[in-house]
Amino acid sequence: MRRTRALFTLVTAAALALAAGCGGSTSPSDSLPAAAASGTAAETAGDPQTGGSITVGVQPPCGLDKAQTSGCNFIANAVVDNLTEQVPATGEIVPWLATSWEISEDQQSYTFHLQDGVTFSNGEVLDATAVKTFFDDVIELGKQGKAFQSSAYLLGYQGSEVVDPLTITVSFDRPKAGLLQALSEKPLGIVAPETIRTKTPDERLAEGVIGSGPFVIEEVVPNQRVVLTKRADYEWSSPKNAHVGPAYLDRVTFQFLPENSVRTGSLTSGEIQVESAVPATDVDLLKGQGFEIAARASAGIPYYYAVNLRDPILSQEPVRQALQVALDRPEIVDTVFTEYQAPATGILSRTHPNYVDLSDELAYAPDRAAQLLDEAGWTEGADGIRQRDGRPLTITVQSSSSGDQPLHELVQQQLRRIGIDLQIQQLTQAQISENRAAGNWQLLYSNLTRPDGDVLVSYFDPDFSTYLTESYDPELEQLLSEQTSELDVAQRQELLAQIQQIVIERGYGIPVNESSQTLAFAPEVHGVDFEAPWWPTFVDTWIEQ
Amino acid sequence: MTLAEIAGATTAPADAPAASAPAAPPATTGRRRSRWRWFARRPGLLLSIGVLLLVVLWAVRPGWFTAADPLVGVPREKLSPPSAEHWFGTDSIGRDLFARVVHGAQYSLRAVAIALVLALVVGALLGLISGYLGGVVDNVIMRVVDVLLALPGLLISLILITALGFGTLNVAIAVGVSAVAAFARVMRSEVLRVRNAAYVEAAVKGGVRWWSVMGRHVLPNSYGSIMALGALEFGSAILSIAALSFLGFGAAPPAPEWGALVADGRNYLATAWWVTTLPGLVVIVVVIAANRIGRALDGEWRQAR
Repeated sequence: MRRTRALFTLVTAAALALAAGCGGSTSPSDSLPAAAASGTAAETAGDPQTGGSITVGVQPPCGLDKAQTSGCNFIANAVVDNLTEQVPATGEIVPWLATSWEISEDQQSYTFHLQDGVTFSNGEVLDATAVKTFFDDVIELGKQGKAFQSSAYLLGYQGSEVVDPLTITVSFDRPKAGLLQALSEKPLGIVAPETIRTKTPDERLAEGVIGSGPFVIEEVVPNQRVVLTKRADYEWSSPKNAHVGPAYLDRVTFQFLPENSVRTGSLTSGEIQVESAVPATDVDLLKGQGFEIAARASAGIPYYYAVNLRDPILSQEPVRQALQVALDRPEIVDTVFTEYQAPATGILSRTHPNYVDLSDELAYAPDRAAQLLDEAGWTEGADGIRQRDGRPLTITVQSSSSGDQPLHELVQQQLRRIGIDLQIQQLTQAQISENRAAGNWQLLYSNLTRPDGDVLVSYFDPDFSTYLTESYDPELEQLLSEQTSELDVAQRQELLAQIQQIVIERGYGIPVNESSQTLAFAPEVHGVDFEAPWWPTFVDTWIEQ
Repeated sequence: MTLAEIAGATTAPADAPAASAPAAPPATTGRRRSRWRWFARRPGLLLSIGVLLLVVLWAVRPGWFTAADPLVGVPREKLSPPSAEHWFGTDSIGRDLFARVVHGAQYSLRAVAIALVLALVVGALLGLISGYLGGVVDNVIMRVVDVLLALPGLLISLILITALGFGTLNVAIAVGVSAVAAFARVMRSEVLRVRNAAYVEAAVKGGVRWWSVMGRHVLPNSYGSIMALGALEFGSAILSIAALSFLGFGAAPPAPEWGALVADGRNYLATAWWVTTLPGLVVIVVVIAANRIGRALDGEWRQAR
């Protein structure tokens, strides 16, 4: 037994060595021939070819029903269609399944005329009744706390009336400023009545939904992959697509590869053709090997530290204000990100239509931060950590992603300079959700993508936010609800500017960096594109054969 | 380790007076010389001892080896390759990796010490009780030990960590508990042998109470082989602790635990090999060194004497 034990130890050691060392070999040369041709591939590609399939490496999704999930994945995006579409380049809202609409005098009810002949993949007709069933269900899910974003989109929903099979009137108890944009978002992509009738919300998250989109979920292997196949009879393409009709690809496989280095390695070795969420450090490497990079900046709330306002330390405004100016955002971006990310300059990202530049308020000012803390009675202790009444100024950020860790550690280093002790707590996503629901948290790193002012409602209105669940600032809450019903664009912008100013000044959110959805793909892949928010779409994608 | 080997390993019982006790000066010199020769024939062992001593010094006096701050880096110098200034290069936010490895030694060693002490004490106690009392107690304890032995150690550790929560201490406890079974089993077999020795029988017949017999006669004569096992387990404990902290169960960042250092670097494998490879190599070298010493303690040394 002695020998086997020694052997075991050695074998384990060798395995560790392998794990440690094998990374060096993930820059294989077998992808080089393909790479050599890549420089001109885009220009000489020629006409799109139908057929073939691709595999996309993704981080594991949090669920396959967009109505119940918001930002965590895009796998199910191509399964459902929307009433309206937002053109990515301009942000303009254009008709899609709703070919036209009328808005009532009081601007509280919208009448939509639906496109004829649209069917779900199970054969059901997408008509006014189906739309009503879906909207009613979203409200119901919202009441159960399961669809926070999609139900926030329908805030004030009074009901839908089926006027005739292709006409539906949706009524609200207030004027709805952001509704047409909201309808273009995938959380409001229409789900088939059969799914709503026969599947529980949890089953929909696990197995996906039936929709009218260009792709259909063919197979779901938990923790491994989701396979989408195209619908051959798809004719009601989104106006933003480059072509009308069925998708070019027969099949898109989303392979779950949570480890960044594994995703990159799978791309360079040819096991996958598209890598999503390309790690910052690998961008140059992949470019060097001839892979294409495509990126779209997020339009919404940039990555920020959500603040628990019920926490004894963070309920103090000076502490939050100190955090706001204690972060050296350019240093963070230079150190842990690439050219596809930028320092946050407000509580909305620069690509957002309602963006207000607040970079002066967010400029790095450690002296100002120290002064704020001094004035609030937080004085520096012997170990360099500030304290008040014997309590150290310790703030904890909960994180489930190992990829975010360098960022948090750098922030930790920056906050340490002014005497704030930032603790990083590694937890599973489930534990974090549980802690958040119980109010047992201080900082969480998050973002939300939606190119409309209502994105602020989702995170800062206590009725909808999963972060700020109790009333905390009547003035801000009043402004938030006013802007949702303000249809005059200039007036609404005025309100939204005030809101952004307040959020930053009072430290209700500590923005860190703007992010983008970064994709890398093999040179033979063409037509990879993005939806308006930032999600990749593969309906125009084709592969050279 | 077979039972026969274990039996052979522990030679003279402490109660029996050692024959070689009266040491004349010339004989001592001769033995010292032969000891040197014994070591000289084992350069690998000497090197291993050197490695472990170095690591212990890293843990106790990290300041002697590096002046760099293991927790605060210079972001501008991120991911710079090994150089004269940064022997192991720097990590993703510009911290000196060598400093992190040196300062990380104390986490690993402390965890290993806790794990081994736990495994040794609990395992020895269970083995002693089980072997000495026999009967139902023996059966119950050994069936539990069987179950523990049937499960992979890392799995037991993971289950415990999930229950106890994250942190270095919990990792150490989890690794310690998962090793208890092996110690208990070896201890019991030793105790079974010693229990039938004439001096134990004499003590029992002489009316000494059973716990005194256990404590004064059986224990001192049977702990030798689990000490050797402890030395052998040292290496695998380092590895298990590194594995658990690699998985993110160890100390909260930025603590430079060795496993966590390897884990930190795995997102940079393709672009900055040193972030993973060098801390990984350090772990491997220490494990191999510990293993070499363990084997020497276990067999060679005794045989040589």
